[in-house]
Amino acid sequence: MSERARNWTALGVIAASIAVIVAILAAADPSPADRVEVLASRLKCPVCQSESINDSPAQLSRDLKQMIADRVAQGWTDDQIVDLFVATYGEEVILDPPGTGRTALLWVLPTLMGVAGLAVIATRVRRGSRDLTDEERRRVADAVREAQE
Amino acid sequence: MIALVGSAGVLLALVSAVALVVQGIRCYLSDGTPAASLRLPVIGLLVGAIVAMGALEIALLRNDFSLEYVARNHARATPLLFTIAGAWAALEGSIVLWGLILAGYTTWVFRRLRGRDRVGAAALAVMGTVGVFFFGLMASAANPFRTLAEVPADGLGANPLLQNHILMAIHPPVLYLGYVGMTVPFAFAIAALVSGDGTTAWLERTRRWTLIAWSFLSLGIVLGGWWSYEVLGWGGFWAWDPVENASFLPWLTATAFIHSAVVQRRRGMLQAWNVALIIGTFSLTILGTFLTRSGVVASVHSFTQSAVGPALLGFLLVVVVGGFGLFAARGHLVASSPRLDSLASREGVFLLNNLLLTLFAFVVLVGTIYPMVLEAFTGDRVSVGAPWFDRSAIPIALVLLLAMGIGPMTPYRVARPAVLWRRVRLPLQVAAATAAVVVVAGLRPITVVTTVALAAFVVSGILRHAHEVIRSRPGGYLGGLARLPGSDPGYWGGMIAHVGVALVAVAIAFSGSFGVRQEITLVVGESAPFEGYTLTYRSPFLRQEPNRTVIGASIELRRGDRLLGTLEPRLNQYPNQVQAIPTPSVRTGFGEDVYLSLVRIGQGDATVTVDAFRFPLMWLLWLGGLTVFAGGIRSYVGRRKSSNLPAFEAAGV
Repeated sequence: MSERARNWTALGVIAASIAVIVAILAAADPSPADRVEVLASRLKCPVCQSESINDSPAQLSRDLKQMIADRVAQGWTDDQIVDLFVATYGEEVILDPPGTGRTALLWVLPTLMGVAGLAVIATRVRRGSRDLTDEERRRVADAVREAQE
Repeated sequence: MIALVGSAGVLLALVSAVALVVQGIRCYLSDGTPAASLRLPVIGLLVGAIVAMGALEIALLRNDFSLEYVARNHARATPLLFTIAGAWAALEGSIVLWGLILAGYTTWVFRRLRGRDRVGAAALAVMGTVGVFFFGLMASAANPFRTLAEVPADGLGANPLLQNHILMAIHPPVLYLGYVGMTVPFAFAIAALVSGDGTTAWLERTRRWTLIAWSFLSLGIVLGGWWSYEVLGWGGFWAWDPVENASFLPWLTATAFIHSAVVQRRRGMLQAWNVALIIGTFSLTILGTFLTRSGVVASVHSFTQSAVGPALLGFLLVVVVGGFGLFAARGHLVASSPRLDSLASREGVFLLNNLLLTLFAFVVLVGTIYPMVLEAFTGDRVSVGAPWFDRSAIPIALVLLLAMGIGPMTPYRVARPAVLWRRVRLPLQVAAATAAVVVVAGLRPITVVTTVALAAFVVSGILRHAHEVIRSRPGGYLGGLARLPGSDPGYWGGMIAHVGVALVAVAIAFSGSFGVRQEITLVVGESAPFEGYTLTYRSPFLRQEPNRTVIGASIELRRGDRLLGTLEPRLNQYPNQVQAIPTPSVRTGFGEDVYLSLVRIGQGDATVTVDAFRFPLMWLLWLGGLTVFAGGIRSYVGRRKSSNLPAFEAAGV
């Protein structure tokens, strides 16, 4: 196969694949996430070290998960249920702390770090691409010759 | 008696470590010929550490309850394997293991010194300093040979969670080989700063030591996940627990170093950054030791609270302030000036890799210590759990996978689009086609599809390159394939590790998204369907074992009419703990694991309640982890065969 043919085949395969993926994903009903599971994973089991209600085998966690399921069935919103847990067990019960209040730094610090890192990398790039100088070309040629001898 | 021998061993090691510091510094200041003056301290350190560990093992094996450590962590009924593992199953013993492995590495470093080597002598002095701290700890706050005035008839027995699985005997030593191994590159980094020598020879040596430690750390982390999966019974292998994060943090920064070291070797860049990464890695291992050994985070592994905490915190401060202080003062001596010609180059991708890995480490670090720091300063209690870590880590991990695929295909210096396109053409097709196939097959959600596509991209890119190299060489294809890793172990070992990481990524994505849990209650003889299987409750059983009482349920697993096996999830009741410890029963299959964890056995009504889990492709996770380990070791073993390349490098091209 010629280079040209390979290029066109590649573009064809990639384009067709993307078309298939987009078509299927667009047509599919987004299955509603299991709200009870998600909520139970976001809330800490009050009698455990760090396990979520969903992961913990403790009886209390099973009861609390049932309670979450009941509240969801009654039409409570996620926020209402979380607020109820915070009111009962304190802020500690939330396993994914919000980006506000005393946990704001958890989101701010990594973002700052990422931006700073990108800035540092940007300063490490030489302004404007350049080709080898004649001097460098001669050194390359010398090195190649030495290596071959 | 045995306490005396053990203490003598600790003392010998401590004195030898002090001597090693003194002689190492003297040797560094004079001509740098190490052999004669350093041999005795190194031998003393190793012998002392072996005697200490040996004494502890003998005390455990002989049920010598006159030792407080043995009385607390061992019982007559403890099985042999866990008696031996008992030597590192609690705080004081784990420090002895730290010391022994440190002594082993020190000996290894010493034996590899050749001729005059001032940097090597200085590095041994640094290792001696670390030895002084840990053997000092054993002689004071964490003394495993403290004796009891009144000798009890029997001991309390080991922590039940730690005597439940054979992996408990393997996982800690392997993890420590990685953890403690990071002391070696740290010692060489400090030596480089002190001597102002950050040359290629220094880098090559430091990178090889890091590879060893990194390989064992990788294996140790995977074994830890495996243990968690097989023992804890909640169905997972990774919970972003501070103790797990403690092992993951240095792994991330060490991984960054292994990659940026390549940039330094090939392009003479990032020297100072490399030194900083190594100091950071070692600091993170000491931080991890502090987190896991001080009881500051109460969790499964953090089994105690003592004066060891403040001592470790103090040592952490010394390492961080001393290491980075030295770096600030003398970093310019090892700094390199060359800049990137273009971000679109292998160096550019390596920089991206380093940014992502350090950012990843920073995110995990912040999430791990934030609750402790906040509580220490304000008294407020917050939790940072798996959902937060997942949300932060998954995007970083996906970009890392992409960089891992594209990096090895990108030329150094400046990547011309035409060259890059010719190399990524095939892997891109494979990735896109794989994504399309799995979507047609019904795979969701998009993060899992992306992970699978990126893994396919990584693996096919590596295969394409291997194919090209093999075809360009004389000889048969299979022979060429077999000879390939040996032709450039550093590179191809790295590619093997990349394949392992890709497998791990797929396994994590699958188990995270398609794990199914269902609570099932059965009466004797009853069957229930579970995810295409049938579970039949045969009978409960009760076994009296020497060290525990086991209550379990025999549950048959069928698919259709075919009996796949009998699973026996259990609850273990240990005399020293009120709460029963569950042991799940796992049937590993090619497509998926079925995992039963016993919740309760009904008294009187003949019922059993189990948590039934189904996890797809779990074996890929363990296989991927082993592949990463194998790749790391392959990089280490065997040197680069002679080629013309060094001549080019010498010319500064």
